[in-house]
Amino acid sequence: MSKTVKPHSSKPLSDDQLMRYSRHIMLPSMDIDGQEKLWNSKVLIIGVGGLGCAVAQYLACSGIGQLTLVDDDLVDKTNLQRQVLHAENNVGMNKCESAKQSLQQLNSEITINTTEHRLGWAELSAAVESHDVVVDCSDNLDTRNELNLCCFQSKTPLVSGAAIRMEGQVATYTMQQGQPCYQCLSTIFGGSGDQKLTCSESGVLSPVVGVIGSLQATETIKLLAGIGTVLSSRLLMFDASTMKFNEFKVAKNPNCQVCS
Amino acid sequence: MKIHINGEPLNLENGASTEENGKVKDTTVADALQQYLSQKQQEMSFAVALNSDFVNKSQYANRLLKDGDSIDVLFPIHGG
Repeated sequence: MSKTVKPHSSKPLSDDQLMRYSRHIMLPSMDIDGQEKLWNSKVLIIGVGGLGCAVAQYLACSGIGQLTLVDDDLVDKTNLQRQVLHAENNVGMNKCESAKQSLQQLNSEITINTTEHRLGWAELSAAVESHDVVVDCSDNLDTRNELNLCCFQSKTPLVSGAAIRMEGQVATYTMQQGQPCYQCLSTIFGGSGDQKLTCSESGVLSPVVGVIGSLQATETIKLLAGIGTVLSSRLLMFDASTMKFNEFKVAKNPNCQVCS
Repeated sequence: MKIHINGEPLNLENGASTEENGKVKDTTVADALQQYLSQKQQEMSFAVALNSDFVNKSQYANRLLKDGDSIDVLFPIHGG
């Protein structure tokens, strides 16, 4: 880990929590130690749309001690098809607030912070710096690039996910020396990058954001608990129409404007 | 020459080592893209992987293909 996921204030788990999270604790690689790391961790989730809802619900249930949700958008009727934390009667409410209501019903003992406006550079840097892992659930390239730069500068691991139509992708950028960053990947695509494919323009199959978000949550938990092997230097592509996963190697770009 | 592109079999028209003006011309990634992508797609931004390794755009015209190679053309995804 580039940034040691250390307990901010190492709180042990109560007996009640040992029971609550017992199905995690049974996993030999997780054990009580791993679950305590989750309980003492802070995760920043950028975007509380389709991906963000899927990520946040699993991280909340998993007992991540602190989640920070960032989104300035309001719940729209067209979001209900896939953004599973937003209830019908929350249309018009800020997405962070709406998601927080649902998450606290799932797990009332975790802390959920919300930021209901777009973060400027200084605020974003400070937010990234003060969290153990950042999960990119945003819906545009500018935010993705900015977040990548912030994460690289503070060496905060970034779990990146994206989805459109019937496909999606996931990659983890540990920001360790010699490892690629998100910019290394986006440079490979080159071109004008003017294909602004958003879910509102191209559509997206509801469970596809659930699949990708669940994979992002899995990577986040692995990073925090220090278990398994993460998708570093690898891009995982999911195609729901053929139900195939494909993996591609992502090399560090020696001329990358961010990490080289 | 037979390759796979985005999982579909593709018979490359100009095959391996076709003669051109008496010289042997090899088949490259650029040839495969020319045949597989529409003109409009070729103008879009995309990434190409040859046997799961990304190929830099500057190498499309130089990277030689062989029978059985697998190419993936990926378009950027930013939705959330």
